[in-house]
Amino acid sequence: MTDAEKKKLLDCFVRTGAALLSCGAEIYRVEESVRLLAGAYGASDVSVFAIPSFIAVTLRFAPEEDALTDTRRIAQTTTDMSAVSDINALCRRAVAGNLSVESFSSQLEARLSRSALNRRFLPLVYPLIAGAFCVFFGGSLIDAAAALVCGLVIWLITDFFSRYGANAFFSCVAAAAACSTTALLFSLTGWTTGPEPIIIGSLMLLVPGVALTNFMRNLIAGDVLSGLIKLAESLLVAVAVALGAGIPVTLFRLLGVGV
Amino acid sequence: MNGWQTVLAAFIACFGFSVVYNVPKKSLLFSSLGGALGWAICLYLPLESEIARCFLATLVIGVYAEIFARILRQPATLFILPSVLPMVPGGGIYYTFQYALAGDAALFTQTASRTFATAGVMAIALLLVSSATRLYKAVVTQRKKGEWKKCLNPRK
Repeated sequence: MTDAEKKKLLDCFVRTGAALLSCGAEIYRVEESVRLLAGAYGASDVSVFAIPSFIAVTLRFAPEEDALTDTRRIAQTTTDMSAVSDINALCRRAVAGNLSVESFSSQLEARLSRSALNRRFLPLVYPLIAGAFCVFFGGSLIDAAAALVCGLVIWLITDFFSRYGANAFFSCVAAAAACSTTALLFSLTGWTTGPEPIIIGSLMLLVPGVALTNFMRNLIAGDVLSGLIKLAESLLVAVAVALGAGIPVTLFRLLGVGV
Repeated sequence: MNGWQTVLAAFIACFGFSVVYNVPKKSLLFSSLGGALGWAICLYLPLESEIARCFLATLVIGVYAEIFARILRQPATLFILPSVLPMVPGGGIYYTFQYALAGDAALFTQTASRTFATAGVMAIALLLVSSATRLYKAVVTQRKKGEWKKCLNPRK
């Protein structure tokens, strides 16, 4: 194997790992996939280190050779389960059979190029989630109807902010504030059971419940650093949401509008 | 609280989040059903402690996810992530910080400890299932290689 081929392999592995990380795969899956891939393509010594925002891969094809290292910084992570599933399947095929590096690389590239999340349905799905969680937290059907609007408001704001690459903390504060204002206005009509189920139901769209569980999973599984990063992230988002939702409530109270 | 209504709401919410998480179409139904199943167990299990019910319900979700991961040939996370949502302490973490911002120390510590306990037991339940599955897989592959006996008596 020539040096160029080795470098190409390494680049391919790092890209695979980075792709998995950026679509929200678990840390152990990322590290294991890259390790198995490297083994399957003839590396004798592999070491992989991944945290949610970074991956480093070091390879050696024979014990006496110099090691090759490549790293990637992952700027943005989303949760795209289709991509995780497809890339995982591709890795399995590569490990099990004799897929050439070229075809592996081109298949990975093809999957990544259409990996943009399907955003078409989100304006329908966000209100649906808000309404469902409103009923879940004890709201009436009228509350759920108000939550539909709140869900739409949250989608509008988060979509607008993410389009212009705004800070996640800021976008969370703004979305939570707008959502809670809408809920309070609805509850002023007197038809709802109160603003509480509407607010908490729609805020489930922003609140980091899954991140909090994942932080514990990472921590207990031994990925302590990744766990702590996730913890800091979820605490920050939670503060943002509580702050954002709290501002209108306090304002309404100060203005003496009955809530 | 009306039971079956919240189960239905949990199903719809999990379906919504499955779409947000871009779960593949053929798994959408099963990832949403998992959420309803988990919540129904958490709701109807005749146990006093909410945390114990959460733990058992998450265990069932873990097993459910591993089974459907086998059947549909997809990673188990795909079913776990949306399915745990109704139980995940999202409301808890929100209230925790609302109390913190309001300066209510007693309610803050109470809610915070419950939130972290819930997240902790759910994580432990999920890890138990995934570790057991990995152990099972490792044993099966070693057996296929005929290394099972070596594994039992390493000295021979």
